Amino acid sequence: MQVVWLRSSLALRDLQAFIQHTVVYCKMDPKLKKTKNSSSNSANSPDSTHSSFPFPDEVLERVLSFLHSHKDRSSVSLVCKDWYNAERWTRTKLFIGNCYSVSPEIVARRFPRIKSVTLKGKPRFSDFNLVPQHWGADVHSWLVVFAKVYPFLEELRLKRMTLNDESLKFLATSFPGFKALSLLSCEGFSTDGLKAIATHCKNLTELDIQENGMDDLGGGWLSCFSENCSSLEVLNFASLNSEVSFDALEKLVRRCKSLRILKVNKSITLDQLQQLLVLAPQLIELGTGSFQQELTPLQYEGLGIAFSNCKNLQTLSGFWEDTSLHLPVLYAACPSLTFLNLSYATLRSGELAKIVAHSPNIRRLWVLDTVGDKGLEAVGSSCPFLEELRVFPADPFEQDLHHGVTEAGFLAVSHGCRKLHYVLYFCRQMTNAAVATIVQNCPDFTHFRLCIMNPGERDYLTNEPMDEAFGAVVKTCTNLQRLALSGLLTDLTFEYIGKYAKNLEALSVAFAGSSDGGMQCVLQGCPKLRKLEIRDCPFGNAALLSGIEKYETMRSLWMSACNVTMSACKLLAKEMPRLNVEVMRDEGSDESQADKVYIYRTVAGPRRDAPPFVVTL
Amino acid sequence: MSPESETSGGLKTELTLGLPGDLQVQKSGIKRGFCEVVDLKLVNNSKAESQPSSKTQVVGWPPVRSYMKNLVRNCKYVKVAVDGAPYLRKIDLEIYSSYLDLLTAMGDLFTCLTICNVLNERKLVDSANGEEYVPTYEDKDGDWMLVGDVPWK
Repeated sequence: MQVVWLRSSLALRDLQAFIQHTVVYCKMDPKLKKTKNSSSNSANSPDSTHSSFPFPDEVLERVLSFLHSHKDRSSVSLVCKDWYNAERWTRTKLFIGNCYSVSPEIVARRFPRIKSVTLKGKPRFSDFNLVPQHWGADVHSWLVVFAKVYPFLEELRLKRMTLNDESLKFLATSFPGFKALSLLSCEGFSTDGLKAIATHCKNLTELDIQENGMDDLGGGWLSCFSENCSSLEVLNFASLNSEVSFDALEKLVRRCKSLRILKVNKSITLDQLQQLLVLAPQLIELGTGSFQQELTPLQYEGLGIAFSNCKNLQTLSGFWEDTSLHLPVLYAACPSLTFLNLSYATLRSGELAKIVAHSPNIRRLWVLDTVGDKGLEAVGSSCPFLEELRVFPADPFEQDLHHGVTEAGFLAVSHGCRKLHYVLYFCRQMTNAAVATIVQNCPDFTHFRLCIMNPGERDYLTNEPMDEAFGAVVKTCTNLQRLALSGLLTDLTFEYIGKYAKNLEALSVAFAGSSDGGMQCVLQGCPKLRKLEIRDCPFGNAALLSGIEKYETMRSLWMSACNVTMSACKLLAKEMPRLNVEVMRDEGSDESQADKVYIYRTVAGPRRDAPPFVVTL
Repeated sequence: MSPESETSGGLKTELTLGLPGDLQVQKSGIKRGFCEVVDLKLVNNSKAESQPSSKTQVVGWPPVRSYMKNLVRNCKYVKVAVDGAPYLRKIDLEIYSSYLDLLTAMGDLFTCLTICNVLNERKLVDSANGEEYVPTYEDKDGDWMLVGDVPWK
């Protein structure tokens, strides 16, 4: 009997199908069972029916086609050679969490039938300017290989990758069946590249452009969609500022009857938005344009009606600029909303209170801290099904202001929203007691990201470090997968984490800890740790080297502005050849200091495109 | 942009300039004309622990995406300069709801100045020497205008 461990998140339907097929074929007449090849692991005893695999390849492949999660597929591929082969032939979706962990050639050799690729590049701290320009993660070399091996590629999803307009043009012209492009936090390209996509991808179903470091040279790209293009299902250009041709957009929306996600940019006015809504009442996700416009009473009414006709609307976002004037037009659409993204709207507490009062079914809410604690109290009383809350700072770099939210707001939400399991909370003050109460109210946190904005800030009531806060989090929230720390923290926090956070996969640390012991506790105590990012902490060589065995089980480690030296990095690199140990030095710093260290496992060896400021040891 | 981090064992020069009516001077109770304008401090800072002083802005902290920095916010920060002051202040016009509010806030910022309502003209008066300060602003055409003529909204 073969045993396969699958993730519990495997969809029940898929699992049932898998078991059903497996059981059915087990009951088949043994004479019908045959192995197509003799290369299975334990095939060598002639009369051992249990060791050779009883299913024909086609059957196994059929069964495996029910598996979609790449983690399950990874488990399956480790069972035996037959299963490894069956899995590689049936995988159609490729997920690569670190583009340098493998090479395009290795991927191409293993997986012959890929239709969808997700690639992630730069370390996450590059979002916060900690990684210099021209670091790498260029997608072009991948595209060149894909063009040869996967001519029928349909989807490409990139995160923190670099790509230029040439690459986009190459993509658009090399894959005739290309359908979906999603770019998040990428850089190096411009709207000219989008022109190529719009022009050449005749079957495009998805164009999703989010928060990229790109050059917006104008909105002409939208007009490049051919008049025959009617396949779009997802169009998100919210982050581009240039004006697009409304006429072209209107015609596109009119033609694309399957459009379910539309996120427009600031250049689209309210009455233009109304026209689009009338054409696409089937939308599931809407990103508004500029919400600021003088409306006549008739226009206002028309907009309200348009919103009320969108019966399937689940997600609302956009809301650039001051929106308070026109929020009531949304109320008719609010009851069906599950995700409300107000993170660009400088709403005050009263305005938010009114919206959430109409949105009892909200599961995910993103707001700016202008809503204050009072706004969050309203959330606590109006949104009993809330699962995710993100509160972003309106003025992150202004230190003297006493605006924003405090522990009171977070507490209020935790009292009313017991299903809360994901939080990202920026604040300027917090107490250990508040956090302890919060996690008692909401013990199911899987993602707890607390950012007390002043580095090294103490509990403002007791003046103690914030160790007990995070101790409470890891003790109470046994399902915790992701944790981000802040405030004044000693090694005690890390002892707690190492002792209790047994499901922790991602940890983000800044300005914390007292000694190497802290980092050691985490490396030794957290078996599922995959991603560790550390900045400005007093962790040195002993800490780094204590994880020497661990780093191959992780995706990556980032350490910057700590006390690590080149010699320790060299030692690590020498002992662990399957890790890439990359060091970047700051200008003017000591030769022996390793200012920024990025360590990741790889089967591709040292990268060949490293810029001069990246030294691979 | 590099962080203003402390250098190893070096001297850190911290220049502090005072505004007219700086808080610390007021508290001493000594009547002064214009208070000390320049207060030079030399501070010896050895290589500190990880936590920078709260006044320094650190690269990449708080961890908000640079995209969020481009937030189009409806807040109107304006610079306020007092004649003879060595540096300016900034206030957010959005948080005030009337001219009186604004004058009060400016009085708070420049603490030696108090509001004096003379014949419905709003002015700020330096209580130390009786000099009057009239709030003015430069409009988009570049003309200097008296604050208060246009309705607050």
